[in-house]
Amino acid sequence: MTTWHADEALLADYVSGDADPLLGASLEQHLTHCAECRARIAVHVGTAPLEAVWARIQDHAEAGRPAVLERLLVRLGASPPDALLVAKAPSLRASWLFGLATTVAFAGFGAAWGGTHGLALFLLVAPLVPVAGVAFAYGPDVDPAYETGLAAPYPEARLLLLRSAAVLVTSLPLTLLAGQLVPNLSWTAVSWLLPALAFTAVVLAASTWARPVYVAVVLGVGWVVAVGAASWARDPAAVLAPALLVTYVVLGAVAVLVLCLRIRRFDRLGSSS
Amino acid sequence: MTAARTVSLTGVTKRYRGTPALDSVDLAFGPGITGLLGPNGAGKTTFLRIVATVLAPDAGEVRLLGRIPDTPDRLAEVRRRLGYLPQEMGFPRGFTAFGFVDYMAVLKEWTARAPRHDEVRRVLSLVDLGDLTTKRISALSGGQRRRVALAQALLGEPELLLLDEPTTGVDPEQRVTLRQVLSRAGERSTVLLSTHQTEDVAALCDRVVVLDAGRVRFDGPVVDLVATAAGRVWLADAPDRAARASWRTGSGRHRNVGEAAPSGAELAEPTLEDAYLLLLGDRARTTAVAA
Amino acid sequence: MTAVAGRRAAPAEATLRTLAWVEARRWARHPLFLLGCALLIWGAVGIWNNLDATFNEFRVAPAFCVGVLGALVGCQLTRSMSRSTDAVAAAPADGVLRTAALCLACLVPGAVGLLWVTWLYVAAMAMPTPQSALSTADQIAVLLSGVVASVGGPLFGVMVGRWTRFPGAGLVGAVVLIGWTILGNSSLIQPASRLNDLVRLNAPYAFWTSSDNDHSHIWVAGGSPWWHLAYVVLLCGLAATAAMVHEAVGARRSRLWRILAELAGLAVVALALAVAADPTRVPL
Repeated sequence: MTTWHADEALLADYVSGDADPLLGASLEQHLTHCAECRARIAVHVGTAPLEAVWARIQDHAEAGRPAVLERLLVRLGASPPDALLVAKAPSLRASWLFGLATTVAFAGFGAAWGGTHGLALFLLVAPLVPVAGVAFAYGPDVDPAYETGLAAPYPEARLLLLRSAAVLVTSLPLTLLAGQLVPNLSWTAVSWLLPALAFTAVVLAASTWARPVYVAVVLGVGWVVAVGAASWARDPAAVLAPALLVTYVVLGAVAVLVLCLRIRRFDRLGSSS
Repeated sequence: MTAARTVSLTGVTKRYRGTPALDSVDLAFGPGITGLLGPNGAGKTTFLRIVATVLAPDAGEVRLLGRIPDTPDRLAEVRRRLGYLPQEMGFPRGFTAFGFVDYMAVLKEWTARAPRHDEVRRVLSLVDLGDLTTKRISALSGGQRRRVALAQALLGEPELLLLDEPTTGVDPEQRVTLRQVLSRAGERSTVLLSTHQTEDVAALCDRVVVLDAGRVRFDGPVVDLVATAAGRVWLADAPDRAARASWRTGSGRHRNVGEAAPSGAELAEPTLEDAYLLLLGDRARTTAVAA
Repeated sequence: MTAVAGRRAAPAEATLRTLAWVEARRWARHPLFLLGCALLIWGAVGIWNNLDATFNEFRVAPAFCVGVLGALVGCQLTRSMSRSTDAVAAAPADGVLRTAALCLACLVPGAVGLLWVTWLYVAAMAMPTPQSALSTADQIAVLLSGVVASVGGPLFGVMVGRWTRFPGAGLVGAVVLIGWTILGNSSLIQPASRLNDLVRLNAPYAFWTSSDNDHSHIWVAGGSPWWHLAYVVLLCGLAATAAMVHEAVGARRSRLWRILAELAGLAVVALALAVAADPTRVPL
């Protein structure tokens, strides 16, 4: 067996990349069957860069890449912690967005080709989409770790508002797009935004008293009755009559005011818990 | 004196639909581990929720870490220094163990990614889940999930640690690990441990508070509570009619716990559980007599 | 100890029956179901005096009140069932059995729908109605489609509850059902043809009468009501099987997939036969 072993200078040169190519190749061959030289070369290898690489690999394996939505939010200027908290909202997950797209598609096509009934379906669905999204973004019904989150210093109101904003940004443009399919009623295609925003504000304000899902259900039932009554009278767009539009604006303004006054209620568990 | 106390409750009352869950409770805690015992419905969870600032009391004053958390700023300040593990804690869908504790760390204002990830790894290895960080929570056992929940409470080495049934579903081997973690935490912080497991209280706590129907029934060192059962626990070959409670132990003999051991009976070393049974039994008897 | 080990496992049919009763009771107590029943009763009272004029429009009542709302109920009950089994780690009956029990419980809204339709038929018989181009048999088929819809909506909800995870999936399912029906029946505005019949009859609920505008006379649309009824019944079977397939494992799973494929094939045949009938519109 060969008794040649590499000397320290050669090992150091090899590790730093300065060794002669031929010598380096023969050293590699030697290392594959010489444990003693393998032990000696270990001393020369700086561990810091290797550990840094390993730490990055471990971090990537454990933490993973941030979700698409999260990266998008950071790109749009949100701070990474905020982006993470918003992206984890139940109503911003892929499955929810899929359900949202399905609902809006059926409502839109219904409006396009379904005549009066289709329009009624669209007017029924469009304002309730952001309401459902906001109700399912936050709160003890949809977040099993809600109580633990309350005990954390991050302001709950901020979390709620950021998530609601994200829900509005995802659901409203999609529904607006579907609204373009509504035939020859140009104003109706956008005026549903007023009840949509008003109801969203009402859900947020009322969730300082009651659970957001219950509030959303009550609002939803009320809206179903209203649209049902209007379509029974053969005019579904009556729910968007100018006088009613003013009512929605006033309702929304009052709700926003109430929300501002009672915003600290989000910091604690409600009496229903 | 109160400055040294981390937690101080004065006259705290909380009612649910008329019945008081907590009835004018006065308690104070400092560094160390305090156990909270009591039957279901005694108000333990309500008590912990109030101390965790998650619930506001109907009456009374709550002073935490030297300040009253009535303004948002003070509330946030207090919450920065406490860790809370609720009794029923669920996990949102789609999280891994690491991902969930990371999420909670963000809520605890760990904004920088690298130190946050280091802290998450630290607490997960504390509860012996270092190998399971990438596993989905839905794939973990009940005891493992409870340990994930405990890990998030340990983030940031909080000065005030509030734990509601931390060892539920945890197997005995892991319970030893958790006891080590908690006793280490108790050296620096104030730990409130609400549990049904009297063995955990006996092993870990210097002090024990027994709550019953919203009132404090006992507040003092564990040894004092155990001492109340001295001379009231005895072994016999058959269940004793005079005993409050009696059960057959593994050795075949019957352990009797009651008012007073009959003369000449073989006395047994009382445990915390015996003392607890006697304490609550006394309450049942006195209310029955009064009624 | 030995007594527990010695107890024989209960036969599957008995377990299914017991579970079905439990689920049926849960159904009957659900607020949305009760709301649907209340709406039906209110509707019945409302049209009592107007029976022959509104006979055509009100056939949809059970399909909507009990069928569409039942989709929400079915989704919720399925979800709450799976949530409770997370807490109980080992449930004695497996997922397929529990889903089958829930599907059987969908007969509760079906019974309500049948009651309502029977009442409508009997009441209409008592009143003098004009001679109808729809034969009695066809009328019964159209009425029965309302009953089938009040079973099918809940079954659809059960399927949605099994296959999806996000909250509000029941609402999406309800919108899909309504939207599908509206889109399908929008073909009534178009001239009569087999293609328009296909568009109309693939929907889970079909309207059979309409008029060109509010004042002209009513006509009966083309297509065969009985074959459409068969098609919708097969759709119900598809929904129930699809819900069970989600829970099944192994050999059962492949068997259920095969049944699913067979049902789908039969449904296509039924739809084809429904459309194959004469598409011309006949005045009522």
